[in-house]
Amino acid sequence: MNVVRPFVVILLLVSTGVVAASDETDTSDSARQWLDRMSHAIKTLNYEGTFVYIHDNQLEAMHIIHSHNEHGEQERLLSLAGSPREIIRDNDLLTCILPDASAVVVEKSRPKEYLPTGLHKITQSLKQYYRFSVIGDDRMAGRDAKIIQVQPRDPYRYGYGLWIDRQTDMLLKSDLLDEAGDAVEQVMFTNISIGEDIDSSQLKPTIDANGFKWFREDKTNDRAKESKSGWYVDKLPDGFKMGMKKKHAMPMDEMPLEHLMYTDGLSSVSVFIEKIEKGKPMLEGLSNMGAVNAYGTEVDGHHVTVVGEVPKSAVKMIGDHVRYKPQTQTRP
Amino acid sequence: MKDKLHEQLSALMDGELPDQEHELLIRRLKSDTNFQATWSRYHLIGDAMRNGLPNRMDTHLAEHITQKIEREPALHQVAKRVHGFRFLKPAAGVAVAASVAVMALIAVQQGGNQQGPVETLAPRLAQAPVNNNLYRVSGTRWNQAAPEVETHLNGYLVNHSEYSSNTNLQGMLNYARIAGYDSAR
Repeated sequence: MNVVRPFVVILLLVSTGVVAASDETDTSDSARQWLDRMSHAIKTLNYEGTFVYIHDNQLEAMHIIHSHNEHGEQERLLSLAGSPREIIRDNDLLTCILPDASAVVVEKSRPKEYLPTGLHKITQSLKQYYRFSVIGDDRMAGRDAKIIQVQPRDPYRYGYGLWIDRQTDMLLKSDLLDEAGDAVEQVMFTNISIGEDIDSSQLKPTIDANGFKWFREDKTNDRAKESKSGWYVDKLPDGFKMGMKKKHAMPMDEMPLEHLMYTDGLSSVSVFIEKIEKGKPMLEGLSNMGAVNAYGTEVDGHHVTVVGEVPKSAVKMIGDHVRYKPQTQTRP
Repeated sequence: MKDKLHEQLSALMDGELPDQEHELLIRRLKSDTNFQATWSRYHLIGDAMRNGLPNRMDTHLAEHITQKIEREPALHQVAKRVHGFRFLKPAAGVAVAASVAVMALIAVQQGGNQQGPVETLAPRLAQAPVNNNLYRVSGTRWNQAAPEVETHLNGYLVNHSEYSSNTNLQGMLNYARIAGYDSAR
């Protein structure tokens, strides 16, 4: 009898441990699969709908049309209230039409080398930094949805509440959540049609850009160069790794600007470094716009600005740990 | 009659109203303020039930938007307006530099009488410094930031979004942040 008892206790401990672990794993794996399918659906489905974007107690109404076919991915986003603004994507070319400024901005977006597959996989390792779970069922924009929650495990990243269409895997509502679980930004479709043919005319801008002048950078002259400078960050929130490091050559004879980008796979932060110029006002300390936080400080005669969709604590930690190590050797 | 209308309204919300009934109901909705209030109320109730409400909200949003549009000169003389979109101010200075990596920047014109030939950015910028007053900033959206600083931050944010849209979960909706911020605020 005396021999048996400890054995039972150990067995109990082991089995409860296993049950608890597998409980979390079950819903976590399923949640990650939902997220994988969703990020695929957002890029590959045809859809058209109206959504609201809520931030800082303000609400913006916008319309989105997305098409994916043999010509690739095309998309049009337009504001419905306030001054009309449109953003149009034609594969990797992003055009912003901004009547406020009589301007058209064309960007070559999504640098290819940064994410060659073009689709982000929600990897197993992210479980160290986020808790993934399936919360339940709901209805959103008149459709049946599954609610997935992504909870950060530390105060250095935001979480998500995501409502995913059960039939098509399309994202119907997205809340960006702080550590307390409060929404700092929300995007919610009020109506959406999914899977119908999109006529190419629907992807053309409605704002008459006549009279706006276009400038377009020569595409072959890529101004961004991989940087080998001595800038680095010596303390990052757990799981953040350098995604890229670039030097942006200036169009005018301005100081070169260093751009370091860090990501944990879901959240990302940019660090911009430029030489301090007299009389040029720069951000000192913290600021924010909705879920985007920014932090400015000075390091070695340079101004450092950290920007990202992460909490204050993360931009501050990163900004306070930017260091410069002079390059003693140049490569032959 | 009223009950019938409410029934139709409810069906419209749920996407269950037959197509042929849409036009009439929407026409009615446009002209009848009581009916509009009902429509808003239904949405409010629906959102509350689905737990989709923000912590605070503007119950007269539509009215405020309408009033604002009426007061807003931009819609009537869009081409003449030269102040405004603050993401662009970077064009005038260094901040754009931030964006230039992936951004072929473009476009700036006062007065608006030239048609839009495509020019390369570099020569244009080399020959003429852009008028710094072109995009004067009014108001602020970044908390605790001076307007000049804000302009700078916007340039950074556009650039940052180009990279972060690869990793975050919202895809194009990410750009809602850029398009959604009304410069007139």
